[in-house]
Amino acid sequence: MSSEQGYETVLEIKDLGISFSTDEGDVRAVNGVSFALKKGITLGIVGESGSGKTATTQSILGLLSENARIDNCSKVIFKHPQKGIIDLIKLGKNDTNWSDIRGRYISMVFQEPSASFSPIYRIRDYFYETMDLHLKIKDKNKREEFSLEMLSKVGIPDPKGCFGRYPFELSGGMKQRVMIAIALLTHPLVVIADEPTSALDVVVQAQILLLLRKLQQDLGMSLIFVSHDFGVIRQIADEVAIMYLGEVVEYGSIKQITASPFHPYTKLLLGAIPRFEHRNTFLSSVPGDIPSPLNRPSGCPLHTRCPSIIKGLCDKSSPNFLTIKGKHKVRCFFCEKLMKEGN
Amino acid sequence: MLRFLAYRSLGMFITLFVVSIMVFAIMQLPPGNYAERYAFRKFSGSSTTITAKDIENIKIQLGLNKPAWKLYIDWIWGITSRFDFGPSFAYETSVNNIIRSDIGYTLLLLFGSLILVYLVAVPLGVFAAVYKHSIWDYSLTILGYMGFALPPFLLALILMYFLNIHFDLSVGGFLSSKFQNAPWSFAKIWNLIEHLFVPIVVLTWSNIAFQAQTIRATMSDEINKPYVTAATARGMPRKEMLFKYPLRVAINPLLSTIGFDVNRIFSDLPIVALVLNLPELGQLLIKSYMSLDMYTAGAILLLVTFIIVFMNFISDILLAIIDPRVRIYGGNSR
Amino acid sequence: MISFDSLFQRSKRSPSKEKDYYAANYWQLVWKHFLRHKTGRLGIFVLGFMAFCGIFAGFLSPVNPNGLDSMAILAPSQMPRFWDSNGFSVRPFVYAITTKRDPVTLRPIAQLNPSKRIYIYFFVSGFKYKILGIKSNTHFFGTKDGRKIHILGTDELGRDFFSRMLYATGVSLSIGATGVLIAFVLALIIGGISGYFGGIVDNIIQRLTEIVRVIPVIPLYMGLAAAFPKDWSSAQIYFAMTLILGLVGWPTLSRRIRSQFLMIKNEDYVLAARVAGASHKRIILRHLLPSFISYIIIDLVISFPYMILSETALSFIGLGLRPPTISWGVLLQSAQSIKIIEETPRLLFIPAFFIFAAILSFVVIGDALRDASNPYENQL
Repeated sequence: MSSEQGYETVLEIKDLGISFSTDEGDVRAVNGVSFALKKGITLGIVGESGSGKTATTQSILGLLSENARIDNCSKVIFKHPQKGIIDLIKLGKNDTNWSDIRGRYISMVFQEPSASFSPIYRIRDYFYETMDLHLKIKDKNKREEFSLEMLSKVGIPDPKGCFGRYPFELSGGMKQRVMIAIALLTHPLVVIADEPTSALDVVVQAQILLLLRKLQQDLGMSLIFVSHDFGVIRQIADEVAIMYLGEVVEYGSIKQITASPFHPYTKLLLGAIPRFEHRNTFLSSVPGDIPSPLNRPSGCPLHTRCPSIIKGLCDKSSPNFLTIKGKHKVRCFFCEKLMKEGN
Repeated sequence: MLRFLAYRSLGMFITLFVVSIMVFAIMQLPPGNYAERYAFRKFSGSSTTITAKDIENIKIQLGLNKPAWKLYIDWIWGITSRFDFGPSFAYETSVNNIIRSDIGYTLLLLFGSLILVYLVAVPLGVFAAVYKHSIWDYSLTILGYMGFALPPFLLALILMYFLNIHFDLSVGGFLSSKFQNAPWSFAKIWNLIEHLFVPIVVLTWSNIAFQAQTIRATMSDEINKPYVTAATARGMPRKEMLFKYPLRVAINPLLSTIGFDVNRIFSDLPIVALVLNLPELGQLLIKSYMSLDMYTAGAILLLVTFIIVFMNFISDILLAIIDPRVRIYGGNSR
Repeated sequence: MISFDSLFQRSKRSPSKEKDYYAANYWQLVWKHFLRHKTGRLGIFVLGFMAFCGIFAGFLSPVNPNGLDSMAILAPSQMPRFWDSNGFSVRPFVYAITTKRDPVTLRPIAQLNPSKRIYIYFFVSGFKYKILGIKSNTHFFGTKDGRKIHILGTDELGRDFFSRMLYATGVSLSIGATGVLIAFVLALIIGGISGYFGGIVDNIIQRLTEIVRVIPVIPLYMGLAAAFPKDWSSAQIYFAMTLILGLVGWPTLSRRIRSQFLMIKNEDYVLAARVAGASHKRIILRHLLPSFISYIIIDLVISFPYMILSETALSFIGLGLRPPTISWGVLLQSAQSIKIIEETPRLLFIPAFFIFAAILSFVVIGDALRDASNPYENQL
């Protein structure tokens, strides 16, 4: 699938498995996740909290906490423009290669803009830091000019004033714009946005989404957008990976997924989005709670909550991916049965 | 910033005022007043019997027949206008004369201890936080318990025993006898440093344990905060990042507790000085309590508290310099 | 801070007691969780042992702790034994002490004389003492003929160190306990007023507390101790010392009580009680206190070491308890002379170890209690 539609793959995750060892035992957060990110494409990752979205994105940049263990067979393959193909999993914590990747070719936008800035530095210090680390622009006027340009690009009304402020003097939305500006300063190949709008008001949320979409298209970068909100993903993503309990259960283009969802979980998720045309019916909700990752259910992880469970099969063995059409893939025994019956 | 400074200085003066009243109350506490003790001392050798009339005369002579609040005003006025701490009963001279020679050593011990606390506590706490469950972490835990459970004066006694028995080193005093009256030279300074070593270790012992644990706690809190992950994701090399981000914040509680450190050191100092026979203010304080020389004791108590309050003031200023939140929101944020 | 326990292995609760677990009340749960801490158990054991020694000091000590023995100055320890080169004995015995004179300094030197045995008898009568108000003169062990035996040797005045240690342990722990009690009452009144009423009252009290805390503790209270009249009896001094210790400890406790009051007084159930017309006293006693009593208990345990340390420090320099009262601080007074320590290091190290062990025990018990006080959390 790497050469489909002529797009070039910039980042590929293969068989990613992550466990966290905690006092209570091992927690399996991510289990056999694979996907390829193509140039100029926005990939949305959706799932409830605890589905392993954040662990997946953090493993790309080696940001997982100390107690995380990544499976030996896992690979995160990045095509570095100068250094060629690098497996990011194999890089150690203090590997010097990181300084050429983190913040340079792969940037990240975080969930809580307020907590993601240290209160003791001014906004300009963050810009200068990134320039010192990656761009090597020494001229003072040039640095300022370049930063202010970026700040106005992300829609900061008074870039000059904002430049000298401390983070705690800005609103949450402004801080998120600043974080996006810093992330895009180096024109990265990949931007990972981990729930960048979840901590913001709805109006600001929409503004930030529009901004990200626009900048992504202008700069031609790839975007991984993580959210628990399918409504948000629908507005921004080209392709979607739906995750449940550390596994990708369905993958496809946004059109395929919204038009013809296959996996019961995807159907449940889509049913939970309020829609104008269905305003007279009740919203459906996903029944039950996500099981504790401490004792993952055997077989298909969804079988404890699945409305279409096939007893004796779903709770015993784990389904494989079934390609529906093009990149649309699903992992479900029930869908397999349907397909067989349909054919 | 100016408002902040004004606010803090006002607080400092109010504190000192209340402290001076408390100190004066303690000075007035011992039963039997100054005049009686003065008379007793004056005539104790001779066969003269002291009459109430004599004591009355002494009181008038020394100006002690006034009510307490007047005595307080005289005392505090003497200090603020002329730096005159009043008469010393035990040494029959002015308190200033007795204190003057000791204050230098006291400050030397204080600042030597403070510097050592920060030099050891910060790296130890940071290592313990960064390398969780490492040898640093466990040794800090043990040091924490030891530092608390072994009070400084006991440590001083134990060190004295071992140094005496096993190394034949005499600890105690600030200088060897041959340097006592010698002019300042390199050898004399070295001798002083040698003698400072044990008292400073004893005085810093529990402070290091305490501060290193504070640093570890705040540092391990900060290290897990999103802004640290964000800085790593921006490509900061780890070591540089630790210095620039979590450490800069973790150092704040350390700076804001300088006053407490000084307080603890002064609290331990008298007894340690007594054990190690260090001629400085702490030991002088015990001696003047013993001989009920309350003007000297009061002067020392006031001086020591003044240093603590002043260091608190300094730490407030340092904190405002290092933390923009304090600077911008002023004294209200704390 | 990693707890002391994590240095050792952590014991796990057996899952078979699941039912009892859910039916247990709060204090039973706390106690269960507490017992899981090995170091906490050890702390309880050490303090229990010390308390036992202290309470039954009179019964356990063979010799009057303040009795002088000029024939045994700085005598070595007379360890009980059952056999030696002269044969085995079912009845334990100690070697007698003979005093020689140093040929140069003419100082008396007490030495063990292996050829002379003194047999030890149990439940013998000796000096009179009082335990919890009961008078007696029966001692756990001693000699038949009234000869003195010194298990841990004697000090520079020939007083029996073993008996003195027992008495000192009792006095130091009891004065600490009384000090904690007084500090608690003071803190409850001051912190309670401050936290319950808030506003200006709270502000003034807080500012004053801050100012008092600026003055270094030991030098300040040395001043109070120095003011004890010379003619006070030891009981008066003991009482005055507990007051001083209470003063040392109250600010921390009062701050805790205040913050708890401030936190809880706006809870709905307190508001409900107030709306229902409950009086201040009733709200404080029935609603506020029970909700944070566990925090208070932990703080009380943690403040114990400060009491012991302050008492030891003050008595050590001679400004606290005075002979004939014996405390750890008073015992250490003889360690002030480097000559005495050099000759008989046990006069320093045994009290030092007791102080160390007692403080450490309080600290680990405090840690274990803090862990256990939240039994509804992390109940895996």
